Amino acid sequence: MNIFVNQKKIDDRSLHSNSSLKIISLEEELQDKLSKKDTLYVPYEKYKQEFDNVKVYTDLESYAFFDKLSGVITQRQDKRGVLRLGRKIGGDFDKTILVDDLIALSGLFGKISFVKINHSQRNIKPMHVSIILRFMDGVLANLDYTFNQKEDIFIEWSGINEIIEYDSAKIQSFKRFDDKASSLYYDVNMIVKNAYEPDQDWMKLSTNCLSIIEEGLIK
Amino acid sequence: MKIGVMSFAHMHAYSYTESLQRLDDVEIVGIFDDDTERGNEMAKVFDLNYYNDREEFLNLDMDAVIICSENNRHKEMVIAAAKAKKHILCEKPIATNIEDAKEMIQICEENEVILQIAFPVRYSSNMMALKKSIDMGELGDIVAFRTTNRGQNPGGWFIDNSISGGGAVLDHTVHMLDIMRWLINDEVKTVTAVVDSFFHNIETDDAGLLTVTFENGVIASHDTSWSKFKQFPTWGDATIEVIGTKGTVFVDAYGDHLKTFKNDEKALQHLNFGTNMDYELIKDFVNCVKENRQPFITGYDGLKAMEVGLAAYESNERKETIHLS
Repeated sequence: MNIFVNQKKIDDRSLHSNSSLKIISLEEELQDKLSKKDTLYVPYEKYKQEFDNVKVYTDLESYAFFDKLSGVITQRQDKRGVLRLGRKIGGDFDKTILVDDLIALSGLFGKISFVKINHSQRNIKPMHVSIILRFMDGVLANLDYTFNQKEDIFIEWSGINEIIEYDSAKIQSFKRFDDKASSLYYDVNMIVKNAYEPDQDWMKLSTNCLSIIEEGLIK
Repeated sequence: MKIGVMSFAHMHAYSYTESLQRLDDVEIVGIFDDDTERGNEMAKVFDLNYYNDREEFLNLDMDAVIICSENNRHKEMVIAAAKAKKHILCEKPIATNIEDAKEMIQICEENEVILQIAFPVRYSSNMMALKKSIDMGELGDIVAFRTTNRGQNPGGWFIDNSISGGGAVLDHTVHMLDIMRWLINDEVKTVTAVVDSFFHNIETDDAGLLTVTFENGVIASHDTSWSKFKQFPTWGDATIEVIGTKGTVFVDAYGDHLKTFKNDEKALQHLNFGTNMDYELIKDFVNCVKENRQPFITGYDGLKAMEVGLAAYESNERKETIHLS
């Protein structure tokens, strides 16, 4: 059985064809609920090395829109371009969101060769973080985060003769009672497809992404 | 009031001349262009007199000139016009280096002529409303900006650094940096940027990302490029998101448009019904000269915006943050 430790609500629409799964909340004690046959899917910030048979998923890669975007970019022969990601986040500043996104983007664009992190004053709300990145393969990226806001994700990809845009505020194919964008729910199929084996390469990647966010250093 | 147009090297000369012709109290005395073919053609299009001798042109009885030459020639044209006691509207960027810009400002001051820089985005009714909202405190204290100015590759001399002074980063950083400076009445303290060229297989840059910090602590990101292609629904954009302690506002200077779908090479097109920013710019410059007042956008504004664009190149070259004095 696949067991998903759920950081956010998983999209009901992705559950219909997945009967062999279980979703548990972040707060539940995990070890006593697992059998050896289970595969545990955890978000980056909840990963612990003592977990057995575990896979780690990132926030961005668990959305169907990002998976589609990644698929298009990956197919292109010349992958150079500019990615612009803007996120509005519900809670206070949380660096794990930034690390999580760097892991996802490194998975798509490869190694980072330059980074600059700029942030507004921490004692003034809303806090805003602006990051510019250069990836070794020729992609430039700008990531902007505003905390203490209604959740929202905006992505623009400007590739060679190709522009792709996504705005969660506009993509509302299923209007929900909570007014949250329907595309901002995790697709369980994307979690299974894109989750990482936490092997040595992944550990190195996640450690590097953490040091970039904490110290602005590329290791 | 009498005005002349100096050079059609920059395509904005076309819409500026059209705007002048819409104003009842303006007489266009003629066009000067040292490209004889282009000058003659434009003179025909607008039914105006053509001059290929700059001195003869500047000796005409007129109050002001609009300069739309190549960037590296702004200096010689501005100085010549200032010495001929003509008020000046100069296309952006003011120059290709700081020394030239300072000299242009100084000579205009010495000759007591107006030097205005053409930043039409300030005249967008959306930008004006944003400025008013910020000044009234509706957004609270400003925390951050997110801005974009992406368009199409203009080609020609724009992609020759020895003439333009820089590619997309210089061309499209100055507008939004001017907007941000104007909105919060503050100067940029630091600039960090990554610059590259991959959209058009050209020598000069066509993509850049900047993050800047203002003296008062406000931070900003800016996306500048010639990433749009001819099939894109519109020329490009000029957008800003302002994040304040009381609220967030998004403004697109080109946002007022209808979407039209056609069975054509360009299937989707935007039909703009918003402010004609070029017309508003020209109207304001004409009124400024009439009233002999300080221009809305000064030579100094042009200098400070250009300074950030040039710092972006330096940051990219040195791979470090540039501190502006």
